Amino acid sequence: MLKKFLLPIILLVLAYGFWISPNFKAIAAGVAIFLFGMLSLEQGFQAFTGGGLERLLRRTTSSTGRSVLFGIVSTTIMQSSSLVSVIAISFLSAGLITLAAGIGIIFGANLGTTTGAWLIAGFGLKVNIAAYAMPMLAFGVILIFQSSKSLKGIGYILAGLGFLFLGIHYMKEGFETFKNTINLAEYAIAGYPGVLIFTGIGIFATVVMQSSHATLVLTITALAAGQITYENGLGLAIGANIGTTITAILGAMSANEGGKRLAAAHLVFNVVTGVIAIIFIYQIVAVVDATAGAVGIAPDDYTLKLAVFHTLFNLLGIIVMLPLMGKLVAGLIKFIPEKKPEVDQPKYLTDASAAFPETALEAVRLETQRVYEAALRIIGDGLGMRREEIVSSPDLEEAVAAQPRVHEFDIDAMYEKHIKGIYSAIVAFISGTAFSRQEEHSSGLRWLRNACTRMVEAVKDTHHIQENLIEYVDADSENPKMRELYNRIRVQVGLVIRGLEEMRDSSTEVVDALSLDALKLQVNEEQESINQVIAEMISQRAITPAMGSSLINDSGFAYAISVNLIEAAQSLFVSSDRDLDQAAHDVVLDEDELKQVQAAG
Amino acid sequence: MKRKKLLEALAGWLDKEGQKQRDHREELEELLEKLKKKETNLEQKLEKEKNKGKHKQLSDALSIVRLQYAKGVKVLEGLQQD
Repeated sequence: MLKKFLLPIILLVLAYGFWISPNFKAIAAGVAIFLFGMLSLEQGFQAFTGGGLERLLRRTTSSTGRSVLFGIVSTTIMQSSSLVSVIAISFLSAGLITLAAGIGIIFGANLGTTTGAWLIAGFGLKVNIAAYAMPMLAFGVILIFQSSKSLKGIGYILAGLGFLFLGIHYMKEGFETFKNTINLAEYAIAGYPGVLIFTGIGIFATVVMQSSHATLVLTITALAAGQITYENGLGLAIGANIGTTITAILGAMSANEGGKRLAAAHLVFNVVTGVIAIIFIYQIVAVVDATAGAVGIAPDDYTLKLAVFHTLFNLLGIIVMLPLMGKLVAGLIKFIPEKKPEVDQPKYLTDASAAFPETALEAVRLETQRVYEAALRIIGDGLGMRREEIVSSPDLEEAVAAQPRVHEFDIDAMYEKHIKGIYSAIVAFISGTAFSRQEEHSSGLRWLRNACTRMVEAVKDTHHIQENLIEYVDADSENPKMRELYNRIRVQVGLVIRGLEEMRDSSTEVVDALSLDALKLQVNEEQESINQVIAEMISQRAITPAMGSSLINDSGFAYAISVNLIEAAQSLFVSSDRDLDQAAHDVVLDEDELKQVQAAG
Repeated sequence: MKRKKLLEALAGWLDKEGQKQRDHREELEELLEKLKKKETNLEQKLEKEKNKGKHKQLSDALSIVRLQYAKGVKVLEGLQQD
C-alpha cells in the first residue's frame, strides 16, 4: 500500500526539484550515479562468489570473534554491508553457518561499512576523484564485454568504482553551487530535537535509496559544503545506520526462520546502537573530539570527525551487544519459532539459499539428508522392523524370526507426509536455480537429485512387497518355508539399512563411502543365493509355482531397494566432502565391475 | 622468475576451463592416495584375520579398493593426456 503511493510521490518531488533547481538536478544525478555504482560493484563481487568467498566464509566463522572479523574485512573490501548481510542470510538459510556466526558477521559488517565514510571524507572530498573515475569507467566497460567471468567481474568492480567516484563528484559540485542560491544550514535544528528529526530523515533517505553509503555520501558532501550542521549530520549518520536494515529485512522475507532471525538481529543491533548514540551523543562527540585531536584531525574538519563518530558509535554498539549475544540468540529463537507443518516441508530451499551456488548445493544436500532419513525409517517400518531393532539387535535374523507377524503400515501416507513435499521442492529448486546449468555446480546437484529419486523408488518398492509380506510372514500362515524366505528378504534389507547407519555414525570420509561398494557386493551375493533357494524350493515342491513367482518378484524388489539405498547413500555421503566428490564419482564401481569382483571371489 | 610465476598464476586464474581440469586432477590424486592407504590397511588386517567369514569380507573389500584405484588411475591418465 505504502509502496503504491511512495513511488509516485518520490517521482513527483524529484520532477518538481529538477524543474525549479538545476543544482538539485546535479545532486540527484550524483546520488543516482552513486547508487548505480553500488549495484555495479555488488554485481562485480558476485562474479567471485562462486567458491572462494563461500569457502572463506565456511572456514572463518568458527567463533564469534572470527565472524565479526570476517564481517569487518569483507565489508571493508566490498564496501557493501548489504551484500555481506545478504550472503550471511543465504548461508544461514542453507544451514552453512550458525545464527551466532551470522550475527557476528552482521556486527562486523556494521563496523566495516564505516570505512566508507573515512574514504569519502578523507579521499573523496580532498582529491579530484572525477579524474580517476573516467579511466576506471573506460577500462571497466571494456572488461565487462569480455567472456571470462573473472574479467567481467573485474570490469563491473572498476565501472562500479568509477560510477561511485563520479557520483560523489556530482554531489560535491551540486552542493558547492547550491550554497550560492540557497543555504540549507538556515534550516538547521539545534539540540536533541534536531538529532531526532535528522535521524528520522536519515532513516527515510536510506530506506528509499536502500543504501546507507549513499545517505552518508550525501551527508558528508552537504557537510563539506556547509549546507548542514555537524550536529544534524550526526543525526543523519545515525539514521542511515538504522535505515540500512531495510535491505536485510527485504532479503529475509524470502528466507527461512534462520534468515528472518538474522534480519531481526540486524534490526535489533542497529536500533540499539542508534538509541545509545542518540542518548549519549554529546559524550560520544566529546570522545570524537579527543580522538580527532589525538590522530591529528583539524578541529574544524567536520567531515572526518563525522567518520570518526560513525566508527565510534558502531564500535560502541558491538562492545555493548557482544556480551548479550547468547541472550539475543535465545530471544530470537523464542520469538521467531520454527513452524511445524502437517506435511514435512523443505527447511533450507529458500530464495536466499538459491542466491549462491555453494549455498544452493548445501541446501539441497541437507534436504536430501532429510529425505534419506525419512526413507530409511519408512522402509524399515514398512518391512516390520523398527529402527532401534535394525540398528541395535545383536542378531537381526533372530529378532525378525521371533516376530509372529508384520503389521500393516501405511507407506503411501508416510511418503506423502515425510517425503513428497521435500522431494518435489528439491526437483523444483534444482530446475529453478540459474546456475544449475553451469557445469561446475550442476553435477553436484544432479547427483543429489538422483539420490532422491533412488530413495523414492526404494520406498515405492517397499510398498510393492508389503501385501505378500503381511500374508506370508504371519506365523499362522500355511507355509513356514514362505515365512522363512520372506524373513530372509526382510533381513537382507535390514542389514543394508544397518550398514548404512553404522557408516554414517562412524565416518564422514569419502573413501569410506566408497567402501559401500562392498555392501553392494554382499547384496548381489545374497540375491543370487535367495534366487537359488527359491528355484530349489519350487523344484522340491516345497512352495507352489505361484508362490515362487511372488517370491522372485519380491526378492527383486528387495534387491532394488537395497541397491537404490546404497547408491543414494553413496551420493549423499560423498557430497559432504566438496573437495573430493567429483573424483569419488569417477571411481565408484558399476554393475559389471562388481560382477567382475564377485566372479574373482 | 617471479614475474613469470605471477603471469602463470594470472593466466591460470583467468583460464577457468584449465583450472577446472587441474582441480579435478588434484582431487583424483588425493583420492588415489587415500585409496592406497586404505588398501595397505586392509592388506594388514587380512593377514591377521583368522575367521573365515571375516577373511572373505576383507578380501572382497580389498578387491573393491584395488579396482577403484585402478579405475581412478585410468581416469587420471585420461585427464593428463587432455
